[in-house]
Amino acid sequence: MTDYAQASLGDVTFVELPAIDTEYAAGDTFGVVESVKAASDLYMPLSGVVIEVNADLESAPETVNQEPYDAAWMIKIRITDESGKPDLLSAADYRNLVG
Amino acid sequence: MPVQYGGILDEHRAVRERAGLFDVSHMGEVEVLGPDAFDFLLGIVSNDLQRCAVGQAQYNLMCQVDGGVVDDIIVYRLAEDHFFICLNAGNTSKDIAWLQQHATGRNCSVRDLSAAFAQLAVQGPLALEIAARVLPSVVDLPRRFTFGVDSFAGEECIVSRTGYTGEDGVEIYLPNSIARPLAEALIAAGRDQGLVWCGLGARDSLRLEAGYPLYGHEISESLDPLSAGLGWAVKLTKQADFIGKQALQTRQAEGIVQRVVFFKLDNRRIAREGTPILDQSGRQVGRVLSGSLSPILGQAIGSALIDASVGQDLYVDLRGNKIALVVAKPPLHKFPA
Repeated sequence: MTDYAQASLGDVTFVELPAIDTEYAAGDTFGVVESVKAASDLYMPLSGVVIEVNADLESAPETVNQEPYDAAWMIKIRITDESGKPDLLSAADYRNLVG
Repeated sequence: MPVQYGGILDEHRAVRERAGLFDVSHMGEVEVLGPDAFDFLLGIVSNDLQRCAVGQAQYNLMCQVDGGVVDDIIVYRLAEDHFFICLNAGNTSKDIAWLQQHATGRNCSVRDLSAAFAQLAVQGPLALEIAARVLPSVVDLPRRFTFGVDSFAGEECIVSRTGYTGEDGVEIYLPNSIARPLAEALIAAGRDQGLVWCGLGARDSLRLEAGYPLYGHEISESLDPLSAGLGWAVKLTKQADFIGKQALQTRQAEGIVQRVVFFKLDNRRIAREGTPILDQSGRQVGRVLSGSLSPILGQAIGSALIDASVGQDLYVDLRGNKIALVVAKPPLHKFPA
């Protein structure tokens, strides 16, 4: 989740992540992040199979607010279709996009 | 009022552990003054206004003829024939019209002061001590629901020992001109005690934890105060008639069909407004009215409207997860599960 998104959501209270081996297409919903203010779906940036999830977020969802780009990684996937890769943004490019 | 300044959870904890300052200037205020003011209000409000002496405040409902709620309000008795009433912001124009319509022919004035008045609330275990550093008369308020008139920078303000958080504290009604300087003085006076600005998010989670209704959720034009569990503020035995009394007496006699309850979930996932509530067999027996997270319990909490006959073995379905709902008596944070 981006720093911008965690700031907009406010205090994250709950993170739901998928089971290992689940396969998703790019754009699919793979989980949910909830804050006091709202619940927000998580979308797959690329197609792939889930190979690891960050179980620490279950007991410490506030990590999403504190370290969105580091400790609060959510899932690792084996990419099944690389074609969307050039469309992904770096944190800096995203920051420019949202102003 | 912003949703948050720092973060909802930290602001919430600050109020439970220390103190928070809320700018609730959006709330409406109306003055009712004149020889008929008391008799007029007696016929409008649900609680026993006769028991509200000068210097006291009283929680009240204004009801429709059918018993539905026009608004929930706090009535302050400034003098025998002089009342100051705090209204919900979203209901202010409706309330003023309601009051003026029913005051027709009465020897009293109904004056909307909302645009001229700001309101600040200092809430929390350290709130009285902090507020007294700026408004010395706070020490003269002997108990909850009493108020006095103080002054700041040459202007008068009403200082009331009331609040919407479940903590002790004061609500201050003041002219706009001194709102900013008084707020800054309070923040300065409370800094060493950990006083922080709090927003609408914490205001909502605090009131929900405390079990206080919010208009449009636990009470509304279609959700009457008896069903909402506010019977303590509806004096059906008082002699005076008030609008809605007859309908509420009938409801009382026939028994309520649905009731408002407060609940905890054994989960951090919030059941949001409108979430269906199910019984063991999966039949819908109610819906969520308000939902939030209690940072004190680390559990989701909320209120719901459920069939009056049910109360145990209730569940919510949150995105495919069946989660048990435990009906609990507020204040929810005082009895950790």
